[in-house]
Amino acid sequence: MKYVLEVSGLKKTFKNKSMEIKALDGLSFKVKKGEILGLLGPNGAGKTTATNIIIGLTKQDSGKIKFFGKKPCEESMNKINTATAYKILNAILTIKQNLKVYAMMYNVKNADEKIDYLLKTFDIYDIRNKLVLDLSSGQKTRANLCKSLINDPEILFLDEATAGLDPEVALRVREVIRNLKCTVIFTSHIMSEVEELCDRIAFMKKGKILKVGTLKEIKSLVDENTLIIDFNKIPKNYKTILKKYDLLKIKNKKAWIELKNPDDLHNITDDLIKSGFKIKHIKIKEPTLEEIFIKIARGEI
Amino acid sequence: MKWYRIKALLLKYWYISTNSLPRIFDIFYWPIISIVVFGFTTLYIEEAASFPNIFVFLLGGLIFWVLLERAQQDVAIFVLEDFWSRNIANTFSTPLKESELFSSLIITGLIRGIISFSIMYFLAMFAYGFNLFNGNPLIALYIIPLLLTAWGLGIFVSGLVFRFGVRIGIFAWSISYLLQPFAGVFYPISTLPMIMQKIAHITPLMYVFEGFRNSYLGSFDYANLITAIILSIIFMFVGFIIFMFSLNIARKKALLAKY
Repeated sequence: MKYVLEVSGLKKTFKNKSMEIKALDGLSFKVKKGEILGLLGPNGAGKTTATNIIIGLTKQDSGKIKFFGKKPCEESMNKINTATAYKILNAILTIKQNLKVYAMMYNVKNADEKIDYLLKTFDIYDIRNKLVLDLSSGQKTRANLCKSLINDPEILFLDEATAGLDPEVALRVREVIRNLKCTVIFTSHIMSEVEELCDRIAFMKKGKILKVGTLKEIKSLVDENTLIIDFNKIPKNYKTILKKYDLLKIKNKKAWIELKNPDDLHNITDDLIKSGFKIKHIKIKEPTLEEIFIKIARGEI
Repeated sequence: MKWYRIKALLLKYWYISTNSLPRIFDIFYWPIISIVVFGFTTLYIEEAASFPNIFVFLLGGLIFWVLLERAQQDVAIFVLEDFWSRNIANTFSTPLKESELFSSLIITGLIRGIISFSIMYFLAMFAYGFNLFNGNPLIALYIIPLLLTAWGLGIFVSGLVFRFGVRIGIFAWSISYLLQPFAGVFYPISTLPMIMQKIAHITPLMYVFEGFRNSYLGSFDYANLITAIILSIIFMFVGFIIFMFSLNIARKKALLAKY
């Protein structure tokens, strides 16, 4: 298996006068070529620290990083790029001037064509000569995304890179990311976005990866589905009957019941019919990534 | 070291220089205002007090001092510009090397310094008839230790900014003034009390200004030039070491990622 990024045993502790904060506690993961890996975790899980160490901004206490099977070097740094919603391009340069500087920094051939293509892709071509200082936060984010693709990176780190974008632009950005031919390490708090884009998801907590796998594998960690039953008719004592089950809620002749074991489905429906319920429609809902995220964060999985 | 990355930073500094009014003012406005004010002050003192060689002390000292100030501030301020723009993380996540950053800062400082210096040199000559080199082009050699000292100070301040953040940015403008009393810019060093003279002897600037005046008024002062060059190289080396040390701490404390 060819891994483009291998992180092993990464540790980082921040110390100040009064306390020590263990940001990373032996973080290890591998990323395959062309894969989109979603890095998820609650605030303070260590996602941004991990990204900053990998891209060379912060020095780790211990642990190793390998790009393309080798230690980080000038050659590998030329093949990676990064975008985050929290950093902007140089404020007193125009978008185009910034991109020209970065194109030169990475020795990009046909820089002008590349810049124009990216500006059009992210729909900021018309404002290319505006100072970054005068842009809206969404425009700044898009300018940053242009920068992150200027060198056709083989590994792209996106840290909350779509934060602050309106839904239409965010959709467009997701389309661009999905069609990229590079490896992407994607950090976001927007679960639907992660679900839509990522091939694998790594859940981080307290500086470690708790679970890693494909969306299907992650969802299989939780057995509990939700049984949603639409009734035509419900008996008068429906509340007493439904209390026997793990009832989540009931509203407008519709009940949400936690289904801990799929085998219970028949028993529940038979029991309800015998008790006088007339069932119109049954649906089983899988847990969302957000629900799994909360369970993992709470240590319930 | 890759030339294209140095060129990329030079292009960035060019854009900053042309887009930002304060950076344009740095090159033209302050040098011109300084020469005009000091020129008239010098004329007045020369007439009122019959002070011999007053132009060498005041206008000569001023031109050299502004060159030092410009070169030092340019190194530190262009680093600060990236901090103000919260662009440090973007800059340092590229393959950029520290040596490339220094080279581009020094080249930018040199070009901007030459422009400011030329404006002051010609303005002093045409407005007040004062020729800084007094027919002896060797005097220009004193610019070498002056620039080396300026870059050393600029790199030192940049290091402090990486370590402590923009809150100590004020040093970018004020650090050279800390050395000014000991440099003897406008007066001979013998004017200072003994303790200050002793401190002055460990700074390269004293040798620059004393050497410049000696060379202007008499024969060329090689001894002060050589001492100034040696001390300025040490200054630059120390500035570089402190910068690298500060950058290393900034990486350990995740300070680069903050900006």
